[in-house]
Amino acid sequence: MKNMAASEHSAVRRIDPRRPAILTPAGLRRIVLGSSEGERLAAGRGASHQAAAKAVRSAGPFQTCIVVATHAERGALTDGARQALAAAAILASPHTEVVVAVLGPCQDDLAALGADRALVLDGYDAGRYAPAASVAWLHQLHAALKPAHWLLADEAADGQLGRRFAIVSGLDLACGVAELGADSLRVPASTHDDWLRPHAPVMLLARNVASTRLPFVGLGQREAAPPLPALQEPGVEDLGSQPGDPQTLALEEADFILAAGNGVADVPLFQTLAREMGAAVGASRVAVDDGRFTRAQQVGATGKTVTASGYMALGISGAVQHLQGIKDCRHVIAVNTDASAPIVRRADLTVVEDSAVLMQELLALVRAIKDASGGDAQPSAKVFP
Amino acid sequence: MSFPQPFEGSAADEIAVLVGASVHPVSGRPTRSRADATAVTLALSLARPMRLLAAGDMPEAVARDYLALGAPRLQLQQTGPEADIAAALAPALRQTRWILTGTRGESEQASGLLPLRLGALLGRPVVTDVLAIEPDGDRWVVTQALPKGARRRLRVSAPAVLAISAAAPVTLRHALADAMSGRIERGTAAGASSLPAAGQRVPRAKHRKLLEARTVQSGHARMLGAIDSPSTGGTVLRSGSVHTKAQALLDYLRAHSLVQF
Repeated sequence: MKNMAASEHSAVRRIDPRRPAILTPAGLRRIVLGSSEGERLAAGRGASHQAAAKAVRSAGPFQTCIVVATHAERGALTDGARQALAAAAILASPHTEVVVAVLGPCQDDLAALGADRALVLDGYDAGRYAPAASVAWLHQLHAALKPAHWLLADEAADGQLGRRFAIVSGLDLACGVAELGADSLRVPASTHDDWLRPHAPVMLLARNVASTRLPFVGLGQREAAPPLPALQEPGVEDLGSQPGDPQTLALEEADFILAAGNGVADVPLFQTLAREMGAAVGASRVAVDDGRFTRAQQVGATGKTVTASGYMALGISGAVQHLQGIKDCRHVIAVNTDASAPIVRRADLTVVEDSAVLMQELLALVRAIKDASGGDAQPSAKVFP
Repeated sequence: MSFPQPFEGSAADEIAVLVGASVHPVSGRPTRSRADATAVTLALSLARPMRLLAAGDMPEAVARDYLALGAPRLQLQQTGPEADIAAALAPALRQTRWILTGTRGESEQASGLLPLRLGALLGRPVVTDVLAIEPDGDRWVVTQALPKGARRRLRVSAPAVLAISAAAPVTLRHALADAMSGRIERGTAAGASSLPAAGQRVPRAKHRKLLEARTVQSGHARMLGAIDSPSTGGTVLRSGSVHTKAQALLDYLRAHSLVQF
């Protein structure tokens, strides 16, 4: 007994003040002893004051609506479309419904983005040339919903669709809207002047017109969209499309980038993996300065600013200058031996592992999948999704 | 000197290229538009009869810049300051089978509507962002630029309107002899209607005002928001074998359709 007491006394029990805790639905921090589950202090505290669910913007009944039309990209809305949707939700009065019409499958949580009703055309094939059919589809929606305004992003396919739709339907159009107010908008007229005009029935928004941080959510009801009309494109025959070759593409245009940093020593293995995965090759400043990659492949403040949907950083710690270059990337995946590297805070998925070992394993997996799928794995034979 | 009058429609196999003056983003002076110049070069490379057509207000220097690309003449339709350019050009283009225009550039203030409006007025298909043209008998095979470096090939039948992308891989030439010897023919647009003004012209503020949702927050909540880091990161995989980690990584890529296999 005496011995036990002595040992208890000598072994000072230490309690980790930042031990992991989980947050209960009631908003209380709960510590499960011996468990490594949960969040550390800072994250838990951050979550506690954000935990309150956002209120619904308006529960209806609605008298009129604003429609946001867009093309989905890889099953998600583009940044431009998110901004247009946020702009619609901010401008909408309590009696106005925000409807989003998406061409292509979309897995996003559209309620959180501000949509009250979502018309998603899952069967839309972005590889087919169908401007007339898309415009006719919008025309059907226009007849059915009678919206007060149409909002679209003034980008690639969305911008073209909005222009074609406005011309065919004879609606007044404001393109390249650089500033949107409660009842007026500004379109650049020259380098120093703007056109100031009231809202138009069709508005094409330039980048960063609206903030996507919304204090409310929409109702987010998904509904079956009317099918795309089977229209011929008069005088134009589609001969198919071809994806860009990621190895020759400029880094700014690439959609999936594999980037190497100081932690990647085996460059041939890295290049093989990039080729097998169909990714463009980027690099951090250190790797470029070492001569492992060309200057044109450098991503970051002194290199290129990339806008890829997917950015996989291997052995990159993520200096501020590097993170500036990838601020517009949607999915960032980090592979690093250091779990406290700055890139971990930016990455959506971090794998704590040595990059060489992981690259070997990933290459084997990718090759196994390609072998299993057989001839289907040839990139040139596939139509761009 | 001939008296200004409307231009007539010309031979059917002629290619018409529409050009316009754009404003230089830094100096604010009128210059030739890069996309329009690309369209002219692309049309010249087809070695077919072609004509340049412009409407509105184009200074002599800009017109000479277009002629320097190698075109023998440029027809300039003079219109009022707020005239509808598409409507002014349409009568002269009814017989023309192929109409080429430029696409709106990154830094240009144009709306990019001209080819689409012209297509609607003349009832013709419009193909935008054209990079290359291969004549294939009566029809042309054109390559269209899509985002992320993808390309699409289309077989287009005449009559059609093609909007050429400024990214088309052509070399723009500038020959002083051609600029000097090229002819500029001036005419007036027949019955060009004027468009309603785009709004009230006002000076621009230094910073754009962002459209933001109005939030009602307590002072405490705002202070917490100020000290809170914007991002706490995503999932971190520490434990497990290399294989499970690689599999998880691949699953993430495939779940977000970032890879094609």
